[in-house]
Amino acid sequence: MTAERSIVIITSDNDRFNVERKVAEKSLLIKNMLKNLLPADGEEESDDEDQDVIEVPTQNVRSAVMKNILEWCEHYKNTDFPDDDQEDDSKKSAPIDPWDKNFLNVDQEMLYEIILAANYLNIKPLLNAGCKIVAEMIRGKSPEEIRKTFNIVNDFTPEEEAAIRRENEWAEDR
Amino acid sequence: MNTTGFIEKRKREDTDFINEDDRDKIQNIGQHLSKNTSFLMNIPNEILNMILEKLNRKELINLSCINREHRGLLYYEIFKNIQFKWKDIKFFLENFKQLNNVESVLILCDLKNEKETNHGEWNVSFKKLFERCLNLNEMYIELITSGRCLKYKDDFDVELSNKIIKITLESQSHCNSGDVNDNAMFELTQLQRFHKIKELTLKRFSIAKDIYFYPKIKEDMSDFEKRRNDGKLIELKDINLVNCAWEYPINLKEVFSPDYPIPGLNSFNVNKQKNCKPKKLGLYYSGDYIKFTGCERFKSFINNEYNEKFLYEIEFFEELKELELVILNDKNRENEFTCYYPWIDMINLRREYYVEDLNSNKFIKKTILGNLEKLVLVGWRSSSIQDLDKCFKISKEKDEENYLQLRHMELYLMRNNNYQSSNIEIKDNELRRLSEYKERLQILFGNGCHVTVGYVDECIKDKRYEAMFGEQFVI
Repeated sequence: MTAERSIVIITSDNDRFNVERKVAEKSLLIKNMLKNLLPADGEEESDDEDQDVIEVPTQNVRSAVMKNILEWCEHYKNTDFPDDDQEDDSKKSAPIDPWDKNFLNVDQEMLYEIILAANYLNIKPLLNAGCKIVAEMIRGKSPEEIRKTFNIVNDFTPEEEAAIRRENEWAEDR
Repeated sequence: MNTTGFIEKRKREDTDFINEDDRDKIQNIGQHLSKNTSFLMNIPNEILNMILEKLNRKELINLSCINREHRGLLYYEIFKNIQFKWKDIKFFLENFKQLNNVESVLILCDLKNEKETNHGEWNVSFKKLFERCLNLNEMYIELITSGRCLKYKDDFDVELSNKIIKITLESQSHCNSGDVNDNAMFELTQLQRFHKIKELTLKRFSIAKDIYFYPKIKEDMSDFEKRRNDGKLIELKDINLVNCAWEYPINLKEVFSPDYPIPGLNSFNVNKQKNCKPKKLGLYYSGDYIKFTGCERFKSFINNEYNEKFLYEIEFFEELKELELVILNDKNRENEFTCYYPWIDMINLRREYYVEDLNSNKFIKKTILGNLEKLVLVGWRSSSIQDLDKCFKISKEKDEENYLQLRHMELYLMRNNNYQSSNIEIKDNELRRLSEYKERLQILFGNGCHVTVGYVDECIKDKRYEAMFGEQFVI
């Protein structure tokens, strides 16, 4: 029985984060990786016992983003989320958790990167919360308001806009 | 809404349609976002789909209006479901460019212009719609007059109309008063050119059997195979009747599974008539229509003992796995209790019948209740917990072969056997009543059955039946 080996997550810009296994395992990607490298207590030990630090490279995530991701994982380290994809619809459509909402109150670039990282690291509850935040940025807004939110320039000519309005009448809205 | 995958093939790679000036104006949100496009356009498709799934149609339409790129991205999703008024069908077909994109149409009545709507119903043919919208498979049709108008202009044949697998007909007749109404008559023969319908929903119709109909088969019988299915929906599996009534002595078997005269030529094996055997049957009543649930006609449907013609109808119920009986008052305000709510002990689907097992040549005992896998009852009154035994008790020891198959049961009761506003909080004794009912149902149906018991207030609050009842159901 060897001592608990420490887990170090290495970001794309070569920053190193020492993390508790429980925190790192919020990412299913890392959890599955560790399952092979670092069996839980009582399970068969792997061969390379001499290595006491497990390094987890995450090439798609830069340090500033990883810091946020790990803050989220730390907050939820004792929360059990269902592992499978079959999360029921009620949960998917439930309002955003206030803590998540506050946590994701970041600029759009960071939000974008957190969502991508949550997808890459396979942290479904975080990914889902991120998607809900983006949906809320669109919800109940007029096209002009959406443009403002995402900083998008209207490239339709007035004639095209008129045609769009006519065409939209055919789109069923109920 | 299922949006999975719709983005993939649509996402435009070129941004040539954005001119140089605009490119400069579009600011970069961050180093990881490409220069010319927005947050949403940069997100991988699978994540974008997760976001778009959370938006309703109105929100998707608004999003599609922000610039050309987003229009291109969402166009196909938005214009899968089309709506237009009766008088505009021709205009739509002549002016809409992507007819192949259309999967469902909603044809609206213009109640401000009844004359034109009425004219449309009786004079418009769907032929061109079917010819040009190759991927159309679902129709929602509002009608002021009876559904009869659908067959007067059926100048198309099944080769065109068989792509329709789901139809909803909604009557907008003013004369509806909660019982049979001649101005909103539905007979299966109105859909005689639609042989492949799997799901049919009727709203506010008086359903009947067309007693004068017979398939118009050529004398040389060359079209026999095609015509023998006219006026029948043999593939129909899902029937929803919302605020629908029928007249004595009509029953659901005769309406949806009718037999017609056919040529008596033995060589064509004509005696084997195929008919519809639904898997799901849902009856929904609200407002004035609730009084129909107090009529003998409805009672003989929910209570087999009352039904003189039970054995003649049983074929229709043979494959029924799911039954939903919903009664929800739309006048959900205090002091407006004017409705009849049926008592749950009226339900009796335990009458036995026998079918021959072809393998063993033995007769097997069956009941409609015993065949069901899912039962949903909303808006029923119960005076005591013994009602449940009366409705559902089948002893396993005595009746092994006919034991219940039910896997899912929902029961939403009226509170205090009277209607009270849903704003009044549920009291402790009312909660106790629910858990007693749940416990008893669990014993009756066994642990393999998922049982939910609650009060109708819950169903009104979460609006789960709002789409079914539509605008008439005002809360």
